[in-house]
Amino acid sequence: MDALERRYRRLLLAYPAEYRRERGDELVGILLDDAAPGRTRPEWREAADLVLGGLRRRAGLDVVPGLAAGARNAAPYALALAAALSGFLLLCFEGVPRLPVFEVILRPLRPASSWPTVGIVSYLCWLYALGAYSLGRPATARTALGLATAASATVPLLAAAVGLDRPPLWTVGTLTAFGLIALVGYRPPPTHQRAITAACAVTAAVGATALLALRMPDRQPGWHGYYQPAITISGLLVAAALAVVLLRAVRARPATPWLWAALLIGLPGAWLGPWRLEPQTAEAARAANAAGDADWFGFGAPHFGRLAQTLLGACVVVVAMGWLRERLALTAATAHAPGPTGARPRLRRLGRAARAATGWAGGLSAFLWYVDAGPLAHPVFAAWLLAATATALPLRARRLAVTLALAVTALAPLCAVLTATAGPRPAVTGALLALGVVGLAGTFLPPAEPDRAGARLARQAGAAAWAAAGAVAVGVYDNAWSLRDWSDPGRTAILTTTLALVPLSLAAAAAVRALPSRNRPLWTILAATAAWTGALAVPHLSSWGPVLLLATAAAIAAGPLALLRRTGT
Amino acid sequence: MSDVPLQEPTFLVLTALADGPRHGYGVIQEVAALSDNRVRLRAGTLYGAFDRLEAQGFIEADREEIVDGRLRRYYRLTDSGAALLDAEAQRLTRNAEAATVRLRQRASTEPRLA
Repeated sequence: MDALERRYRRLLLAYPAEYRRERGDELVGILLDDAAPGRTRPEWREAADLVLGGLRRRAGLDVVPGLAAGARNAAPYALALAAALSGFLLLCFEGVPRLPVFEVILRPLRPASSWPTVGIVSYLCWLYALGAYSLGRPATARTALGLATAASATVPLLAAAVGLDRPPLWTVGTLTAFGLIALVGYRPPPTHQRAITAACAVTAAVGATALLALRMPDRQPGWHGYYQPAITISGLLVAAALAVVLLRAVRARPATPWLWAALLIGLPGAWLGPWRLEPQTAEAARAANAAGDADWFGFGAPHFGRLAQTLLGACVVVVAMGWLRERLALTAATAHAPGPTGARPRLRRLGRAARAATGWAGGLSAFLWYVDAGPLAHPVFAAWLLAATATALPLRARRLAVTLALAVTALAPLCAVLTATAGPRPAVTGALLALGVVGLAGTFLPPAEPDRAGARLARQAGAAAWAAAGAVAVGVYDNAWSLRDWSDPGRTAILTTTLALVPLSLAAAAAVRALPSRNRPLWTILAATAAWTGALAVPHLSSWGPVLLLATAAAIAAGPLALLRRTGT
Repeated sequence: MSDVPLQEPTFLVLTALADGPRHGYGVIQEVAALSDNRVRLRAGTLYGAFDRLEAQGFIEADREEIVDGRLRRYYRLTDSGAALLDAEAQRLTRNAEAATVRLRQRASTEPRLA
């Protein structure tokens, strides 16, 4: 293999492994045929084309029916939203010198302590992108969209480099995701669409400012401009746009491209919110606790905070995407539908996702053991670490290890009551039980290939590593970037256990993709996921972001709507 | 169904496969020749198009061969792919004819300089 081939193969890593196995040699053959003689390095355009092609393939843009059309439908909405949010945040939350004409209106709205953040750079890029889209040529518009997306994605790096504050990561992430949608779905727009997009962006920014004015009189103490109310109002804007897209999906034939558009907009939209902020200060929390309202510092019930709402929102959208994709693959007219078809490959994939839950339980336990282990928690965490490593053993021993860990976890609170000592926190117990049930159900599903002890252990170690890394990231972020002297171990523990929503949702998504089925482990997985997510989220409806609320309402309404359509009413 | 009208690269890929199966590099060369070197497909773009057309059932893999140690997979047009290309070609022909007729009318009504 010469240098050029090696470099091409490295670029092909942008493609999914399965695709590389199937088409890698063929693609390398073409690239070598097409290369000028004597070349040792790929041309940069060729390299960029391969990386983009790989990413398109990973996103399934070319193979999932309606997804590319969905991105095209979503693109103007994504651009209008990104520009509107940028305009709104720039005018209302950034401490920059402003035009006197705006000052008269905006000064009373702005939080007293507003200071400039590096977000300004990306906001200005978005306003330029809207101008370029509405007035410029396609090449200019594309470049401007790329620039704004890159500027949004690099805000955290820029903030670290120049030592200035940055807007919240949720805001930055949402703008970046909208940028990617606008870029991927960009088509040179007709004149009326240019005008409508610009008008909608301006209207949305004005609407957001008006909402800010409406909510300002009852401004709560502890409202930090950027977190609250900015994120809530941003979430409301996205929810309004999403409602429009959903209405178009109801009216359109076929509905698929608009459903994809709704899911694409909904994914970053779900990162915004919630409506009500949990108490920010210990004093406010105590007051709320006394009123029986919040449990953040009381450790009574599981907590549903910003991280949980964001994770849950994103997971709901991802599960819906998986469901839609599978439905389309099933109904596709050709046999060339993407992904494995037939019940067994789907159950195999579900088994793999479900068994990873045990690894996640192990990884989370390792972190919690380090941060917040009461006397009765030691055996619980040890049992889960054992269950995760037992994956190298034969099937029966594996099942026994997970069952044992489940039993220890379930008995710990009982022992706590009997011995009047502090047991593991309810949030920890609940999350570990849900993960364990899903992991146990996974052992009753077809094994993944290859089913060797080493391969199983590697997969489980991977899952545990993801869990531990996620927990460390969340914990350290919550503890002022330190891994020592945990200021509030209980709070950190509860916060990190919300990460269990990720493996549970991945398993639920795989289960939904394998429906309809009479497979018992599949229904156990769905029930365990729904039970824990419900216990976590339903008592805290006011902490849900607007997009999550809308998505849930839409999912509830989808059933009757489909029925109405079928009966032709 | 695919988006009609077809984008030019898609149209050219289907045209390149119209008279018989070709492998990827063959399609790149044929598309360049058909478009007088105006459209130069790159491998990533070409395989994106192949994936899309294959998923929609317009093309399918034909056979494989190994030349100079390099794997070549041939692709061919399916019947529905041929029908799609035919419909698109007729649409383009109608458009071209309409343009030609209008231009002829314009030539005959344009005031001539004395």
